[in-house]
Amino acid sequence: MVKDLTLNETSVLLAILRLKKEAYGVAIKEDISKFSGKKISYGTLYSYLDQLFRKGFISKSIGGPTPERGGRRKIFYKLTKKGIHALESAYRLQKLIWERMSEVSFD
Amino acid sequence: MIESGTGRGMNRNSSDPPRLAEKILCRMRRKNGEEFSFLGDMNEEYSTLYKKKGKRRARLWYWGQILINLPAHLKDQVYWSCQMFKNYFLITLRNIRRNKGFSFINITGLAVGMAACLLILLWVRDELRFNRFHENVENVYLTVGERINHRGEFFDSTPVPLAEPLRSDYPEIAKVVRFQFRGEIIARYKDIIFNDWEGAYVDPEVFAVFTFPFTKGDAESAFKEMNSIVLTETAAQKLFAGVNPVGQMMEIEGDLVEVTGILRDIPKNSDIQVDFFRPFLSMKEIAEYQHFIWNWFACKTYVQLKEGIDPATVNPKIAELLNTNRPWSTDPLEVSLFPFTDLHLHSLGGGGPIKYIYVFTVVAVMIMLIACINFMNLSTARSAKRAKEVGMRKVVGSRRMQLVKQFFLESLFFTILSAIIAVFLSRLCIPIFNRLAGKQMILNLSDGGLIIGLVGMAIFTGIVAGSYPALVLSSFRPVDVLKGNPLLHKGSQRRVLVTGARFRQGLVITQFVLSIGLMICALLVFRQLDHMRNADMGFDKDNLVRISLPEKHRGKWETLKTALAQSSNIGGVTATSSLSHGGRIDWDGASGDMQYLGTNTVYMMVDFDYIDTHKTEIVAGRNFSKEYPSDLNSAYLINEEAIKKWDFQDPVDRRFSLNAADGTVIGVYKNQHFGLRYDLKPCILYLTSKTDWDSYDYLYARLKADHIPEALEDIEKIWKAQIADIPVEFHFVDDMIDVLYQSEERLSGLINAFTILAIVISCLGLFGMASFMTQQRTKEIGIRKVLGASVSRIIFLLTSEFAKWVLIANIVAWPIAFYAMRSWLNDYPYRIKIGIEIFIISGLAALAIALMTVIYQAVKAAASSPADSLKYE
Repeated sequence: MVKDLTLNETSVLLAILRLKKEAYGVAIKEDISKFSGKKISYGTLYSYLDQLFRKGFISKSIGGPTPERGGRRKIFYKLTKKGIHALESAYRLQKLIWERMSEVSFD
Repeated sequence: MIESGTGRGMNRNSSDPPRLAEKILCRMRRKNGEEFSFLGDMNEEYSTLYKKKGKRRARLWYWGQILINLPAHLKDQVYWSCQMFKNYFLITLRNIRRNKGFSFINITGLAVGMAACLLILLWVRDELRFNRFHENVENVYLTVGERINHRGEFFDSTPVPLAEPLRSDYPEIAKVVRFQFRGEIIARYKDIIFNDWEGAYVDPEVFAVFTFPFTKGDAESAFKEMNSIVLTETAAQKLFAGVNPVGQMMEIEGDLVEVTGILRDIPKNSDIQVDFFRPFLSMKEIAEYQHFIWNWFACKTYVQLKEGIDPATVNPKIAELLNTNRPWSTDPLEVSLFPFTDLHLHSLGGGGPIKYIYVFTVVAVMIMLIACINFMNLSTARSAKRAKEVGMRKVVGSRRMQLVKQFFLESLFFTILSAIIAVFLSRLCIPIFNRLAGKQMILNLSDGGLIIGLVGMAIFTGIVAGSYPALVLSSFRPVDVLKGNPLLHKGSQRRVLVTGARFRQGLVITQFVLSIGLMICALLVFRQLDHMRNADMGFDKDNLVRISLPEKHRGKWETLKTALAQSSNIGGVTATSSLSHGGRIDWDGASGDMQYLGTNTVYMMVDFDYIDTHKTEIVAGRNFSKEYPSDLNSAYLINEEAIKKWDFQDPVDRRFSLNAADGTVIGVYKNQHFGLRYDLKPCILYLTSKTDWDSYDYLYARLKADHIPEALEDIEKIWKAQIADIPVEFHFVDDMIDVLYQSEERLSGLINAFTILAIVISCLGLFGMASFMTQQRTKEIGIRKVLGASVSRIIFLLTSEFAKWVLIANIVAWPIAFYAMRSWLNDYPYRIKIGIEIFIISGLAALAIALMTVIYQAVKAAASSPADSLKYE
């Protein structure tokens, strides 16, 4: 049984999914903050990425250096099958939760 | 171009982040090997910001990122260093437990060394702090004169009238205090009498300059009256026993005086040690002449300068004052103000006991060094065993610095443990040490300086002793060590271990150099002491008793002498004055500057029996004799030294005068030594007074060797019959001479103790080394035995190496010890020759001790069955 994804993990996975082949540190960070309006630090981001990698939800590949990176290489991330499954089940759970919203009201 | 993780493939752009910040970030992030990605991200974002919002914003952001990361980073660091520290500690404890023998030797050696060092440092500190408890001590000086025509001849006394002008006419001088010390003083309160008190006659300002604290009375009012006296607590206790002494009248030197103050007992670290103080002018003979006797150097004059005055600016003024008041003298003096704080350790002409401070500091360092060497030796010797651990640590990712840290921490652990044991050891040993050194020191753990010293010593030895293992062990290459026995392996590893063995040899040799050197010194000091005690003194010092005559009973000398001479237990009696110096002499053909006598010539009034009672030889001319009535007034005897120093050839029957009293030299007597510590001085003997102050102060009685107790009884009886009110006071002359050798005796005792310590510590180390080396060669020994080597052959094999080391150590130690001891002996006018036999004895003793230490291990290894030793491992 795979543990449920947290909301933050979900948004990182989603960002990777959306960015397709361009999913590396800076791009993921920007995507998340654009999408949610919340700022996230590299420290936090990398600890999520490490976690997800350890759980086997994402894989890494090393890309080429660019001058604006001071000549350092990028690490590109990609969702694994396991990751996609996890994302899907998270989506289903969220959907179930939010569907019950119609039964209640906020007053 | 090859790219490393954090490396940079391109040149720097202007849009790159600040280099320093980047470096810091780089250091903070290097855990998972992918930090290049993180750093790259940072760089990329920086350059985006740079383009959009300019350099300042970008920089601010970058530094901000560092600040955000800092707390977590620090927490990490602390956490992991604690973890590692725990691990190092655990490994250290395990190592101690696993190698109990080695650890015991290491810790004991270090602890004993540290304890010795601690005691010596305490002693040194005590000596350096001597006399320093007075409040204004930095500004207090003794006025010292030096004869310009006879350089090197110093006077620590000055004329009495000097103080008055110094006090009134010199703005640089704050206070002036004259001192005259007197001994064997008779003090009496009712029926209680003491005849051995020592006192100082001082000017009233004394307690403002020398701030001895009062327990009763106070410094200002103590000497308002001439008939006042200030006692120390102990003295008051002895005399008044129970009565409140203040306000009581007592008798001292025949004067009736009132006790006006009580001082707390004078601390042991004071050179001024007296039972009482009295006003300077209560000495009648001085009060009478105090304004004009400029030729009598009767007292010590201490001067307290005002804050910030350089004594060198005052010296010539005092000299001028002194010399203009002695216009008749052709013997001008140079004056220097000698710091009071230096008086304890420095002689007036340079040198002095300060050399013992140096000697013992060196000895302390030597002992510490020997103990450190043990530690280094045993640690590196076991390096082969630790090598695998080092290899494993390196493979798992330990960096070299971490290993260095580990080994330093380990040695620090040992030294701190040793320091704690050392405190207990020195506590235990301090009474013995005090007796040897003639001190009364205590080891007080609340003493800040001591704690700092101890901690400093622990850290210092930890770093010194740990340096070699830390640097060598951490340099092992993991591949080499893990592949197999590093001892058999070729390459850098082997080189390190071979040089390690050399290094260890060097260290053991150093230890033995130090031990042998100390042994030679100890033996020579002992020989010198023995020489001084047993040398020909020019008179027979055995069974000779000196009886002091109290001032008011000096008139009875003749009655006493006659009575004593009649005793069948006494072989001879003579009366003498004390030794005097100063004044002038003259004879036909005397050169001018010889005529004024300084402190280096002495004279003494004696009686007809002096030469016979002292059993001194007359080498030329004749002794005083009652057959020549003129002897009484005009005969002089001089010693051989006078002929030599004055260049006074054929003196017998020549005209000679002392202090203008004409006479003839009737004979020359053999030099008499009063303690071989001192140079011989020319001496003049005569029968009737040539100065104002000559009187018979002492009687010397030669006791018959087999009747000493009876003779002493006779003295007591005869004394009581003549002098009822004062008990007799006498000393054996040989005891008095032995007192002069006290400092040599102490030196000898201390050197002996520390030599033994040094040897013991060296042997501990040697024992450890021997057991390690035989253990390493177990297999070799087994094979040799299988091939037919005999037990004795193997013992020879194992011990010959150590013997070689000791022999090399001898060759190094001999010249060093020779030069050191030659310069020590140079201070003694009568010294032994440094014979080769002392060196040979020391060398052989060291060899014997070393062999005894290793032979146990060697025999054990050689006698073991080869079957067992080949199975070993």
